[in-house]
This record gives sequence, structure tokens and C-alpha cells, in this order.
Amino acid sequence: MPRRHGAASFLRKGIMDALELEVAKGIVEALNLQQVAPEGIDPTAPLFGEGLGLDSIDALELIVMLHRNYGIKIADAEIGKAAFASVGALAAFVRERRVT
Amino acid sequence: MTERRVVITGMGIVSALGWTLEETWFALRDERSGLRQLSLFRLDDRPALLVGEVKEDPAARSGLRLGSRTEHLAVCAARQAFEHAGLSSLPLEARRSIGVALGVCTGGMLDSEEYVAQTLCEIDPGLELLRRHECSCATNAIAEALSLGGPCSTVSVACTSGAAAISVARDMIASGEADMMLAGGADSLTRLTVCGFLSLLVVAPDGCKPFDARRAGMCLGEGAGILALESEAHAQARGARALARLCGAANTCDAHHCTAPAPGGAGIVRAMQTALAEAGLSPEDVDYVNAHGTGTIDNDIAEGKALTEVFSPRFPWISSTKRFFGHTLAAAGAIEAIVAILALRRQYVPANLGLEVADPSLPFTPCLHTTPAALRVVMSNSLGFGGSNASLVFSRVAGEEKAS
Amino acid sequence: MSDDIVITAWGFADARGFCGTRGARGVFGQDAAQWPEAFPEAFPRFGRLDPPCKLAMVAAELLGLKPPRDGVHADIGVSLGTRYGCLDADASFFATLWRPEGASPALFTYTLPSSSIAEVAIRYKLGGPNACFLAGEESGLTALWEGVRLVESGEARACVCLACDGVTPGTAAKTPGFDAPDAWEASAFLVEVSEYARARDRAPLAAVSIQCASDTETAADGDALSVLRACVQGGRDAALACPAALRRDEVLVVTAQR
Repeated sequence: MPRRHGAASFLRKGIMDALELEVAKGIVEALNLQQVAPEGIDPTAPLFGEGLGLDSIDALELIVMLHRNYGIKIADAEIGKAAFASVGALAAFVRERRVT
Repeated sequence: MTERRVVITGMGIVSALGWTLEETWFALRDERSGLRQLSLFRLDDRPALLVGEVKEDPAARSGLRLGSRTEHLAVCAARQAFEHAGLSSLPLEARRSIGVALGVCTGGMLDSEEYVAQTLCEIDPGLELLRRHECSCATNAIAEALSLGGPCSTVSVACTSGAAAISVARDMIASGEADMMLAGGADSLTRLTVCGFLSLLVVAPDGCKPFDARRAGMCLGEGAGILALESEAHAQARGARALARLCGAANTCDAHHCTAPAPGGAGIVRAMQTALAEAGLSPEDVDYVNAHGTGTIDNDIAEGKALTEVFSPRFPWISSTKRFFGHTLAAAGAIEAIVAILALRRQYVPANLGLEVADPSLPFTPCLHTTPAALRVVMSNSLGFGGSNASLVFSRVAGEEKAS
Repeated sequence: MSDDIVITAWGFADARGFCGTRGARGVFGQDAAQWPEAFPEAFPRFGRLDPPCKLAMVAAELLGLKPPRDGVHADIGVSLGTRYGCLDADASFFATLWRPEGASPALFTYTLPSSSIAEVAIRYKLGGPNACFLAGEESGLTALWEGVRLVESGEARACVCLACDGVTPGTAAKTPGFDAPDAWEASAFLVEVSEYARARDRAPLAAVSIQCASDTETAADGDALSVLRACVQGGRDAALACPAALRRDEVLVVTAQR
């Protein structure tokens, strides 16, 4: 997967930057969301509960995805909760913590 | 269908605490945990883990020539229960009507993992390792080892499997289909279950602390628990001593989530209420509850709320004994039924080992130390993945069950 | 009689299509992505289920059950019979055990033979007794038998009896000793007390009762669940022999309602 460092860009509601799109693709792939297009996800919309309606097992799969794609290790499910609030929040988390 | 009273005339248990009822009871009484560092297999760079591993190889004690670890554990416990019930000298014709109901989750998985690992290393493992994969192998192993010809049932409902099997056996006896059944559960430790629970981030490497304010998760275990269940009339006719009566058994589903319990524990509430109603008892009649109490944040919250809804304001003695055995999955419902019956027999409440400071959100405090107590009715609860719940109620055979 | 036991709905799904009380679809091949056609509303979670859960869900959907407005159907249970139900999940999960990023939690939840029960129970809010029975080739028949007995005993007023089996060709190739069928098949039957069914406007397709084998004239024949399907679909009577492991000289007498 090509590595793109977070490009400086204005984040407008509904428009994704490159990292957000990459993260969205990672989510769709890791969770096998068959009827969801990554570019169609609103980066500010909630991922859990409403929005995509993901649950706690999906959160754990995303933790595994973060390790696989970015080398980020999370051992506590609670940390994941804040980071996974939305695609935008997750991209910011990745930008800050990525190892690879 | 005539309802017939069902009693327990024998018990057998193999676990991290030991190979007999006596060893188990002494460890419970003396508050000695059976948890040790995992040694059955290596997990490379995973953290060191405390688990309830059976010390010594069950294959050396089962009398089976071949079998998976789960089968050996199951047969060891079944032989014990059979002998405890005074059935060892029973002639073959009489064994034709004794059946087996067993709860199993992992089955021959430990061997199957070996098969896969060898295949990955390009060693041809041969198919023998796979032949024991199916869960029903353990049930059949018990039937064969003891020459039993009655109905055989293998049940798998995650962590409530052992309790579910006891319930299935109870139904068969109550309906007149069988006079006697060996029932319980068995599971071995496996890489699959250890790594699987680790991936859910719910494992405490230092072992579980059920209902503790600082609990950090569950710990795994292995073992087998078997009850010899019999109709009361049949037991009396052959002069067998009844250890306790199974007066209520219920099973429900949360229908909420695949791994997390329904937040208020609605499913286990219904199971407890149904089991008590069947027994003709009220919550005030229960003296001790052996809780599922895995020590995960979610389970203990849900179970705490459920126990509150059913028993508040007058709580019975409550303890989770998971820190003694680890969470033995399919065996748990049966092992903990045996713990509850031992409590009834010895008139002692086992400690909620691992508890230092109770979760302040709980309106009850689990029993901190082994405590002598007058116990007439005890309950054992199990909650499992998929939202399955089970509640078993046992009473003393002699004496009054209802508080006067 | 008010406590007669009846079958009021059925569903069947395999790679060739699905059919049941609520309708049928023709041939669509092995493409599991098309299976969501069975569901009238969007069912986003469907893609996350493993193959046996997907197929069991399709068969169960054809029963036409709806969740209650609040709470659960406490009086509807679920029985499942499967022999190879989680073999694929076990194999897929194994493949993730030794990854640097660790094992897959989503795959782990499917390594239980009973996982289809949870998915079906969650979708239709079925809160009654539930269990998966493992009895070799007779797993599906055992689940049906136990479901009828559950309703007969009064512990539940209705039971969804599921059977589901198969493995993917890849897993079948790796585990030759199992003789696992390399194609998926699932069936579902809704068994209930006739009074309970009538109160919910569900008409009986067949009456079922467990009787002594010596009292009946019809003989059991063929694959039990296919025979039962023929009964409810085609209005035929039959008798299904008790699963061997239960050691009962009994048959399940099926009387089609015409």
C-alpha cells in the first residue's frame, strides 16, 4: 500500500483528504463492508452506533487493521473508542501515531 | 408427560485444582487458586499468561488408548462420577439405559491445531489428528469407556454448554426417556481459544478478579465436570445416596450481540426467574449463587445488575469461583454446578477469590473468604457468547427448601 | 387440539438458490454476494457473517418472522444442528493466528458451532431456550427433534429449527479425512403450538407428533430434512425415524395439511 504522509489540506465536511480516503478504504476492507463505497463515507459522521453502525467487534478488527497497515499497537479497547469516532478522527489518530 | 424429580447421585471433576472431588474441595476451602503460567503450548511473543491448566497429562489417567485432550478429561471425570454414584459394578445389561449428555466447545481442537501447524511446516501429519476434531467424539468416548447404551447428546452453546447439557439430561429423565444420565461439560485449553480471547482484549494476564473495582479481564482454564443424574425413584430403588436435587433449570438468549451480554442482563434475569419458578421457589429461598463472574468489565456489570434485579434487597451469598479454575468454557457450567453442590453438602460458601475491593457500583459484596453457612438452596449461573444464559437450582434432598 | 404441534413455515438455501414460505428465487450460482436478495430491507451486517451464518440467515428469513416492537420473543427458542458448521471459520481463524498483527477477533466469534444461533436470535429477537446439537450426519434431524420436544414440553411456544452444513472447497481440500460436503446447504422450519400459531395468523403446513415406531405404518426414508421439505411443500405425509444417538424407538409423524 502506498504510504502518503498527511497532506496539508483544508478539511471540509464531506470531502476527504488522501489519508482519510486511505483509512476509509482500510475500514471497508477490514470489515468486509460489501455495500459501502469508501469515498462515499462522510469523514465527520459517527462510525459507531449510528452512521455505519459498527459495533465493538468491528472496533477490535480496526485495532488489528491499524497494526497491520500502520504499525500502531493498541492494547486497550478504551483508547480505540475515542480514536474511532469518525473517519476524520481515525485519520488524525493515524497521522499522529503511525510507525510505518 | 409425567414430571419426575431429578437428583444427583454422583459427581466427577478434573481441573487445575486437581483430579478428585476431595482435592477440589480442599483447594476451595483453603482458597488456593489453580492458576499457573501457561505451559501446554507456546505462543511466541504473546505475554505470559496465568491459566487454569490441568497438571499432568489426562491421557495417563483416562484409560483411553487414543483420544484428544478433551476426550481424556471428559472420560476421567465421567469415571469418577460413575464410581461416586456406586455404578462401577453395574452389569452391562443395566448400563444399556444410562445415557450421556455433554457440552463441548473446543472438542479435538488441540489436536487439529497440531495438524495445521505440522501441515504449515510441510510435515505430513496423517489424518489421525483430525479424526478427533468433532465435539461428539468426547460424548461417544464416555459412552464407550463405560459401556453405556442410553441416549447420547452433544450440545454446544458456548460457555453455557455444560449447564445446557445438564438441562438436556434433566429433561430426558423428567420425561421418562432415561432413568439415569451422565451430564456435564469438557473443554481443553487450545491456541485458538487463548489467542481468540486475547484478540478481544478481554484477558487479564495476571488472572481474573471477578466483581473487583480494578478488574482487568478474564483468564482461561480447562477441565471436565460430570454429574450423575437420576430419577429420585430410581435412586431410592437401588439404595443410592442422593447428594442434592436439581429442582430448576432454564436457558434463555439475550438476542443482543455475539459476544457482549445485554447491558442489564435481561436474559440471565429471565433464566434465573424461570428456574426458580420451575422449582416452586422465590428469590428469598436461595442461600448461595455461584455467579458466572468472568472478571471482564462487561460481564460483571451485566451480571451484577441481573443479580440485583432478581434478589435485591435481600441478597444471598454470592461468589464467582473463576479465579480457582479459570474460565473452563463448556466445562464451566458443570464444574460450577459441582462447586455449588459441594457448598450445599459441606455447608460452606466458597470465596470470590481475587476480589480485593468490590466494584462500588454493585449493591452487594461477594463473599470474600470461605464462610460456613446454613445452605438449603443454591444456584449456579452461566452466561455465554451469543447471549446464551443458563441457571440451575439445586436443593438439599432432606430438610426444608423453603424458609419458614 | 390446542396443544397440537405444527410446522407453519420453512426455508431452504443452497448455492442454487433459496426458497421457502415467503417465496423463491431461481438459480443464482455460488455468488454469496447475491444472497442479500433474500432480505427486503438493507442488511449491512450480512457481509460480515461467515458462510454458514449467511446461509442459515437466508433460510431463517424465509420463515417470515419479525422482531417484537420492544424486548424479545421470550417464548421462541432456536435449535441448530451442524456437523461442519465452524470448520471453515476455524481454518480461516488459524490462518490469522500467526500474523504479526495478531488474530482476527471477528473470525474468532465464528469459531463456535453455535454462532448461527446468535445471529438469527439477534435479528428476530428470539429469547427462548437455544442450543446447537452435534450428532454427525444426523445433526440437522436432531435439531428438529429437539425443537419439537422443546415445544412439546412447554418450555417454549415455538422453535426455529435450523440445519446448516458445508465447507468451502479450499477447506475441503485441506481436510480430506472429514468427507465434508463442499457445498453449503441450510434449512429452517418454524415449529409451534397450533394455538400460538393461530393467534399470529400463521396457518399450519403440517402437524407433527412424536410417536412410538411400532404404532405407525409409514416408514422413514431418504434424507430426513429433504423428506420434511417435500411434506410441507408438496402436501405429503411421512414418518422420520428418531436420530440413532437418541436410542428411541420413535418416529416423527408428519401429517400435511391440505
